[in-house]
Amino acid sequence: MTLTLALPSKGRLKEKAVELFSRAGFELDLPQDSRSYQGALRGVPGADQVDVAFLSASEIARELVNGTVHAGITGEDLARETVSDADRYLEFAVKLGFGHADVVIAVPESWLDVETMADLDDVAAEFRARHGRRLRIATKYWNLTQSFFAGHGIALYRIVESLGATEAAPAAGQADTIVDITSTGSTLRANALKVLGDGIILKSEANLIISRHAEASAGDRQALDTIVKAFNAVS
Amino acid sequence: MMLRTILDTLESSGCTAPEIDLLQPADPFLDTTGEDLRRRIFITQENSGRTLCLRPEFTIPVCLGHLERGWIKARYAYGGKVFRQRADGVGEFTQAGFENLGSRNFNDADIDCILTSIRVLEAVGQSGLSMVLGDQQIFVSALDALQIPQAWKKKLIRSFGDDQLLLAHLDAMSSAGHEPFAEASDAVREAIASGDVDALATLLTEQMVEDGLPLSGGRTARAIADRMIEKAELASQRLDAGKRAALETFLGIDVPLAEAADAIATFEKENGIMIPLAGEELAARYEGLKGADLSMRYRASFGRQLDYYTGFVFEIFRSGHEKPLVGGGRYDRLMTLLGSPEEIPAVGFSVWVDRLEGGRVA
Repeated sequence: MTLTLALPSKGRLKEKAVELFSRAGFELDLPQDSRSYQGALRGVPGADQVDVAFLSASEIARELVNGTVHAGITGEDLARETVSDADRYLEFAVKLGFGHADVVIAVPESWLDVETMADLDDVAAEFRARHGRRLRIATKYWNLTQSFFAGHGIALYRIVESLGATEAAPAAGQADTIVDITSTGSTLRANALKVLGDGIILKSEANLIISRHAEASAGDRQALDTIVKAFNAVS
Repeated sequence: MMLRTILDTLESSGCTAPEIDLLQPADPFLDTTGEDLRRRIFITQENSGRTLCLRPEFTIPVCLGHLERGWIKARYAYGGKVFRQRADGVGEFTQAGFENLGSRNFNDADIDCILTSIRVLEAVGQSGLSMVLGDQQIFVSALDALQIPQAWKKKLIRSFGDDQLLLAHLDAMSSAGHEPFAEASDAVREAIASGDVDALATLLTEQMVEDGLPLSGGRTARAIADRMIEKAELASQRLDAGKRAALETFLGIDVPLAEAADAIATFEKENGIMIPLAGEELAARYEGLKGADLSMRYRASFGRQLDYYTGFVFEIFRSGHEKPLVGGGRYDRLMTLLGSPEEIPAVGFSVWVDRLEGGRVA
């Protein structure tokens, strides 16, 4: 049996992931050239062969949910966004201590009356009567937004899909508020947005995630277990 | 077969049965029910980019058709497959139902709606039925009678029908809130303290300009100022323990419909208040329905958490079963939400046809 791992194909997430494997004592063969996305991991007891696929971070989440890769490294935010009932499909095995980002709900600073989700609930309920349309939220996090708002009993809003520069949507008149990731909050402040007091939807970081739906032999499981233990020792 | 019988029964009582397409534009559903519905329906896209969905229910298309035809009032029948996402089981159900749009004789229309649903159930051989009835309007009148502040009232009405959420709101209102706007500038705090909405709106406009926010199309400085002052006023208040106890007693009322008017009268007497019309309306409902062959209860906390439901709601069960066979009620706000320039009263019910199997008398 071949065990397949998925790692981010570019950026800081990739660098940190590669570094983590070497710190944990594994030998990771990177792709031969810049057009190839296949690597391999050596020195893992139990597995005959460990393939490593370098994919985009959101693809990794999808492949894990589908069970086409056994394990992977990606952000918890992307994994939870990919499927609403994430824990049924995925095991968040190790928090890796990098790739920190909070998914937050932010509103214009000039909305001085809106400090909590309860305030936003009031505003959303009356938005249509006052402004002729529903409250609009710009985000690429459909799932996370919908479950968080449902948890607060808020249904009366519309999502405007935003795939980039979400923080600029309120000023551009495309949306009233946003749900986006932030690490230091400086981008939000630069766009005159503030995070609601109870508006942190998810404190995300990179995770080693194991697919619950991928077919794995006893040897594969043993190999995954070895990786988890090694990561836990150095994370 | 069952569906045909239901439609025949409705049509023979004078209902029109319009054609409703399987594929519907998704926006009217998402706009009226909210974004959360997106997870529960089947959405697809046209090449043009327009978002469509498999019809998740019939009421909204029937109402839109009514507006399009420009009719003043009509009684409608519908029936067929509807599609909803479910965690377990198939996402395909058969639903049938009834809408009465534009009738301004409210009590008669309510009674007609319930009696029609009972006739439909009897036509498909159902017996041993029981009904639960609730009415948001009576809850609203009770809040008025107890002089609950406007902003709290709106919040409580919105959560009516969800006991847990309602209790959470009551808890929040009973406990001391934190002082709002602690971080606002002195000028803003002064304007709030003096209740000067105009001065506050001017200050907010200045900040919005500085922040680069569009001044039209979104929340206006005035709307924000209004709410700040409302919030500041409420922050110093706490829901009185006596009123809270009264509200909980009211929400606990769950009696046979025959005794509902008396239960309201007792509640009024115990709390020294009057809930205008509540007793009379419940008595009139009972009068209109008492000939029907099913057990009936009034439950004061029973409501639907959709903001277009405004008045009475009802569900009919086969005795001993948890899932209703019929659900219905009054939703006078739906037609204006769907674009009607004037208010059009609306009342109706739907039947879960798939649940009827097995309940038939041999």
